[in-house]
Amino acid sequence: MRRRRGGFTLMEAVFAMGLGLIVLAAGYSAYFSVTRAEDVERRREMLTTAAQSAMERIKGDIRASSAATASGSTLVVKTSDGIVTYRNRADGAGIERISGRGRSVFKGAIASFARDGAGVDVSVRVDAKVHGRVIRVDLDCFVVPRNR
Amino acid sequence: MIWTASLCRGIADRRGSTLVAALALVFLIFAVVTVCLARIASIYAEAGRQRGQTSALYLAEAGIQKAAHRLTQNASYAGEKQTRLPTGYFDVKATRTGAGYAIASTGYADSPLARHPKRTVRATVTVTGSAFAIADWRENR
Repeated sequence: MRRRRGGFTLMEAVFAMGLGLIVLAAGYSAYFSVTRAEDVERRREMLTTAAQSAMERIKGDIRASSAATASGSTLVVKTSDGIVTYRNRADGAGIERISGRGRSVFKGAIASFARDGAGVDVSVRVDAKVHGRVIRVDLDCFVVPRNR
Repeated sequence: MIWTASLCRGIADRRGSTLVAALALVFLIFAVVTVCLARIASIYAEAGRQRGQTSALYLAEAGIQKAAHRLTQNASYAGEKQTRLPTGYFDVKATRTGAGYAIASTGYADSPLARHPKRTVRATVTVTGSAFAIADWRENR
């Protein structure tokens, strides 16, 4: 007659491995979610900074200007340095700032402008796809020319 | 016979301790997972709050600019409530103070959070004809 020795039966081993796998999968999934959330938030932070930087420049130009003309995606302001034009690039790659001194681009940003009384409603939007999810940052402001 | 029974009881005891150890490990791992998930939630909540605050600040600033502009057209302008922009709204209150006006503008950002993120900006505005100047800019949370 065989005597039973210390150890696990096949059922116990299979059950333990199954339980171990479930626990490992849950742990991995949590770790993966944390790193993904951090990625998304880091990217969103970058988008916010990009949107703020574009908005601050546009606001500065409108305030310093003597007059502003706004229509949809184009803004033309008259400053002491000459005419400054903002417009969205046709390929959607960003907002272009064109002045007598040259041209610069706020990458990834899209702006819209609307005349409102003597001022201009400015909206800046930046979006990007991160881990298959579109994240978007919107900022709105109203700025009146000739004020500092 | 007594020896065999004692051995069996010993194995049974050890098996019990293995089960306890396994359950403790499972509990520990689930605790780690719970902490990770709580961290994700806090990362999202904090980032959402920060974004909302930034947006609210721009709305409050829009309120100051709009109020200053209205004051150039109408010296008795006292403020407005719930003026909407695409990302939220602002409330403005303007009061006359000597040569200028004290303006308090609060921006409220649209948000899925129960409490809308808000920022208040206070400024002093002096109006000269159709132009205005903003001074003493203070931002509160």
